Amino acid sequence: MKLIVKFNLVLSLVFLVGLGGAAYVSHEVLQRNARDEILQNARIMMQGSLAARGYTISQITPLLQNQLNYEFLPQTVAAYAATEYFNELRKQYPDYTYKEATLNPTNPRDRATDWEADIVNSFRNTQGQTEIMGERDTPAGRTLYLARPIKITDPGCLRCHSVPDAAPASMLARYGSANGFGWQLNEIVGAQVVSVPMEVPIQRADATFRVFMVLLVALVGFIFVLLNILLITLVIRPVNRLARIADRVSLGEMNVEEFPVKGRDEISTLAESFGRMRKSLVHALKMLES
Amino acid sequence: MRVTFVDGQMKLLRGTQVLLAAPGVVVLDSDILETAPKAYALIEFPDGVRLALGDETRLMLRTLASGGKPAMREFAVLQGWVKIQSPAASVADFQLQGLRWSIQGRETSVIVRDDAMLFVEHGAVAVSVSDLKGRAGTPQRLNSGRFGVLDENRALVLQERPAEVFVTAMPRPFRDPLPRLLERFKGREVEPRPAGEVAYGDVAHWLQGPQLWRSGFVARFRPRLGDKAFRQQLADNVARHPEWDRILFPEKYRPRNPPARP
Repeated sequence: MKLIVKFNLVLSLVFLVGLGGAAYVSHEVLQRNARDEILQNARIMMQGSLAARGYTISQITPLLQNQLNYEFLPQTVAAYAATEYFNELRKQYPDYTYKEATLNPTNPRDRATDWEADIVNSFRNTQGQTEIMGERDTPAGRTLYLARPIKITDPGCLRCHSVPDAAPASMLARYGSANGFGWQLNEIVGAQVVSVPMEVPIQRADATFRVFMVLLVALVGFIFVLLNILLITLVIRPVNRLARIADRVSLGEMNVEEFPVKGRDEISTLAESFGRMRKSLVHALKMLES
Repeated sequence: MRVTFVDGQMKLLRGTQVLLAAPGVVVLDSDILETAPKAYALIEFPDGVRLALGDETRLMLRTLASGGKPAMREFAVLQGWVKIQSPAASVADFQLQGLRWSIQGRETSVIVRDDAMLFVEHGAVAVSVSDLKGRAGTPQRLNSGRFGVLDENRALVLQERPAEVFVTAMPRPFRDPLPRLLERFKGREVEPRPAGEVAYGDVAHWLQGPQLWRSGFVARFRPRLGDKAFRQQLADNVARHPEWDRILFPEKYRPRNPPARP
């Protein structure tokens, strides 16, 4: 088997292994980064909603408190504020969702669906659990959801959620007395659930991976060709020429041209050695003839 | 006390003058305040009591001090929407006097429409419904959140929350706590703009109002008798304010000369 074939076989094997390894590692890293980016988006969305809740509780509700005597204003409710804030966001980003999924809500739109109820119950049954995340398929594609428990820690909340008699009359007039009552202090009544689409970041990661691999393969190919050229030019051709000269000398052609020695590399050293050996041979033959 | 906010127009009848109120104008005892259609005004007292007037409201300020008892601020409400917010720091009780009832309180916030409906936002008030002869009935206490309607039989019907017709018609600013604005006018003098002398039409409602409210009106508006139109209209309606008869027609009340002895 020719040297170049052996060389290329080994080189191909090394490159294949390297490409494979690089592909696996880069794919994993890009996918993980994409998921981290999705999760970070979800956390930012969640914090935005929490900020809307805090702003409502600290600034809006006190200003509108008196008006509750006349008309129930859902704008005074932190959960409503957070949901409406997110609904505004969804006008530009419709694939993102936020919900304060509650097992026993006052507003029916907040009632937890089956999978949301599972999350809420997980929070209720697992002490100290502060976050649940997961992935699920939706009509809009695969989404990542991030959930945090809604725990009643402010006794003020119970004014509207303990017993109907304690709730503002205007609230009862709007929502009735059948839902959203019986909550207890320190009870987990629901979960804030943010869902963010995974498609775009994952697609971006895949695209980056493809570009990276194409570039890597191109680079490997270029190196492969370059190495072959160098091998042929610097080793194989000089060795073949030296071999042809050696053959002719071995057949008695002592006048064959000298191998030109250029540089001080190993081929030059070999050529010089061959030249000395040839001279020694010629001298020895002459001595025998004389 | 001062006017601290006016949206639209509010007339201030002081003595025999008609003045146009503006934010910062001082309000005096016995002033009559009347808001125009779609107008809204705020009056604030130094002790924090705030009085809001809705549109087309007629109200007179009086402070009664009877026989050593603490002075009480009386607001005679002839018609319209009034909200009074009296904080803990207020120095006197207030009394909203309507044509058919009297509402007294302190440390409370209450909204009244004419003398037909009232709502106690917080605190408590005492409501006395007067009979047909004007005699005050037994006071009824209304606590926070209670809504009362005075029906045609002068019975006070209580409800757990304000009627929708009341809420819908109520001036929108009444839904919020009345703001404290008096500090803005500290050290400032704001004069109301004169708008002439009162005409009979300006004060007809008051001249023809409850007799108790009319005390002092003869002395107050007597200078206007020099106005022929005023005098004539006073005479035309003297049956509605008979105390003016003696002033307009003094000759009717002069003692007659005894007949000469034969």
